[in-house]
Amino acid sequence: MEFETNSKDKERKKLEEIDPVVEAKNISVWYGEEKALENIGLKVPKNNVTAIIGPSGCGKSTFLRCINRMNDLIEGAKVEGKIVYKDKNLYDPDIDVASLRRKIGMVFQKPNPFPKSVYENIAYGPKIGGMNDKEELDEIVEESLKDAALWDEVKNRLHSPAMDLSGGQQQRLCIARALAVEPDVLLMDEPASALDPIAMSKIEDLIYDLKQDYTVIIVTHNMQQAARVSDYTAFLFMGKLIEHSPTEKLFENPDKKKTEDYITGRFG
Amino acid sequence: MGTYLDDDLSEIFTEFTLRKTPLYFSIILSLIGGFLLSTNFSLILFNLGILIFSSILIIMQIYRFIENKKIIFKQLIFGLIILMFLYIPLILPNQLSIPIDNIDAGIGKGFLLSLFLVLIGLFGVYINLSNLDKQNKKAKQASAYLYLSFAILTVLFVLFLIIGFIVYNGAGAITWEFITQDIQNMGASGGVFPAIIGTLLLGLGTALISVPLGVGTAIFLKEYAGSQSKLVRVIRTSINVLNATPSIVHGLFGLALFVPLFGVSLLTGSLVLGFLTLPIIIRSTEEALESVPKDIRDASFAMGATRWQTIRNAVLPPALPGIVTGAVLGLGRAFGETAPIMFTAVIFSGGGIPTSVFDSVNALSYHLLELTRLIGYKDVTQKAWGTALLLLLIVLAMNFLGIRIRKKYRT
Ligand SMILES: Nc1ncnc2c1ncn2[C@@H]1O[C@H](COP(=O)(O)OP(=O)(O)OP(=O)(O)O)[C@@H](O)[C@H]1O
Ligand SMILES: [Mg+2]
Repeated sequence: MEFETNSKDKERKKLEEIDPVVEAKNISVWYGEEKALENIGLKVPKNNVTAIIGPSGCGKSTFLRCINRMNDLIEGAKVEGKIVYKDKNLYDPDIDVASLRRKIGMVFQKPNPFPKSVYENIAYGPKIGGMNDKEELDEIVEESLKDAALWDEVKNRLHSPAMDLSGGQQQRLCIARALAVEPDVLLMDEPASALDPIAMSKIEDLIYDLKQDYTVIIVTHNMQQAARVSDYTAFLFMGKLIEHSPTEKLFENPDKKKTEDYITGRFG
Repeated sequence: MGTYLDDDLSEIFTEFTLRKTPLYFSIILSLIGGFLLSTNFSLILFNLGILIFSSILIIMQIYRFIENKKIIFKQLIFGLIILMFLYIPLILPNQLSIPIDNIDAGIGKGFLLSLFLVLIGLFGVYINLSNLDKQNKKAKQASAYLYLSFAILTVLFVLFLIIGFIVYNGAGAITWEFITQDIQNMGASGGVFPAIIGTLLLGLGTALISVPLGVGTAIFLKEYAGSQSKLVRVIRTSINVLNATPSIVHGLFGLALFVPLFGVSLLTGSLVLGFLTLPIIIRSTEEALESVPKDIRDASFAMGATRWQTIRNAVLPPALPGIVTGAVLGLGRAFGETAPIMFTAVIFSGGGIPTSVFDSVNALSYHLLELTRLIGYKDVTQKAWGTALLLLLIVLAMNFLGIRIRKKYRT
């Protein structure tokens, strides 16, 4: 199988050389007695797209949820290890989880807009953060929608229900909503899996553009997609990190046999 | 979904008319005959009931018949037995040629007979439903659909019957004087103004007590406390007990606890009614909260909202229609209750307009009770119907208010 990668971008630095924005150190996760992740160590380079691939149930979503501590909300989930972000361990007791989540935003697999208007969806985050200035909010809404390549489609219906948008539009709305609080890092859990090819390619283009300003970590089942949009790729298998390299290396010349088996579709 | 049902049904009916199995045809005829020839109201109702259930039965029988010709013999026998029973209504009027004036004989026999028929119908339906998996999909679908439509029609019918009856009897009593004047001569003359005010005030008091407490409790149970915690289980059980407690017991409880503190008063009555409606409000709020998808909470948390911000901004708005519905239902119940306020809020029809929460009040439900006690001694029948109608109108108005609020918050 051939993978089209975006290697035209630049020569990628080796992972050892980069200065990560987020680094996972020895992350293990349990759901009750069940161990879902084991000793994951992963460096996420700044202003890059990192893809996480692996078969269903291998722990991709679990890992993503560790980074913005969404696992805290799951009854019975226990996380061990460190996630270092800006020289701080996110699992330190003095971390304010709410403000952490504003810095590390998340887009979910299924579009999940609030049952509010388009405008209110985008303004949600800033308002939660205490912003009330109408003009400023208007500006944020417009900027975020433009960043998410949705502005032209919704500028005349900002005050109609977000639920009336198409699935692809809803997903871009969710991206815009996440961008509205100006995060550093954007976590995306299969953001295009529920979409048709056109909507999907729009989202992919968007992700590609987003890395100018953000660091993106994206979970995907679609290996072509991982190859197309990402700079680095991590392969998880049964709760373990098998391989993590620049995307073109991982797809063209993987170090591990398991990785090769997986990307060539021999299992999973 | 809709067209699927319709297709199925039309198919069934063509099948039915094509076959025109004389057996089932005659069953229907006998039922209709019984229905038409019945001479009193209860008999008509019961025959209607059996007509409904038997039609379900019949359709299922037809399907079994089509499905599996082997059981044809059994079906024939079964059908014949049903037929025998169902012919009884046809014979019935002859046997009951006693004039209806003689209420005892007339109704007694017909009533029992009809009841018997309905039980057979139910039994038949039970037999049919109990081995559902042996039947084909269409039969299940058709009978379920038929059952559901009959159920809703029956409910609507009874509802309209009740409302129609009250409106018919009570409309004449409602005049401007009736609404605005004081109760005179124990209700036999004058109006019901204090009772209207009392009912509204009690409703308001109840709402003020039960809505904040109930909604708060529900939010705590659903959003804060872990679903497994002991505390939650204890609270849930207590709420269920509270819900199952007869309202008169609530009244006695109020009499023992609150009356010594606040006297027989608006405040005491509101407290008792408040506790009475609490379980309804807690439950419906919990359900409303549960109906808000987890996705939406996750979205809010991922935006950096705290738990309370999430509840306030993401969960409560979509849950509000459900919460309002629960509150309206609860208050509707409070408006209608008589037993709990009997010892705690009202003092015979003497209660006027209260000037403070420590004054006693009157209430439409209680006034109605008093009026019905007077029937036969004083000319109060029409006033009683009028009072009932007013109560109905207030509850109806509450519901409309609820709908308005729901509409407003939906956008
Ligand atoms: N809330 C939960 N409670 C218990 N176990 C869970 C929970 N979420 C995930 N798991 C378990 O943890 C393991 C990893 O799940 P996870 O959702 O992270 O997989 P995934 O790689 O995202 O899979 P998919 O590609 O299907 O989304 C699975 O075995 C799953 O059953
Ligand atoms: Mg997943």
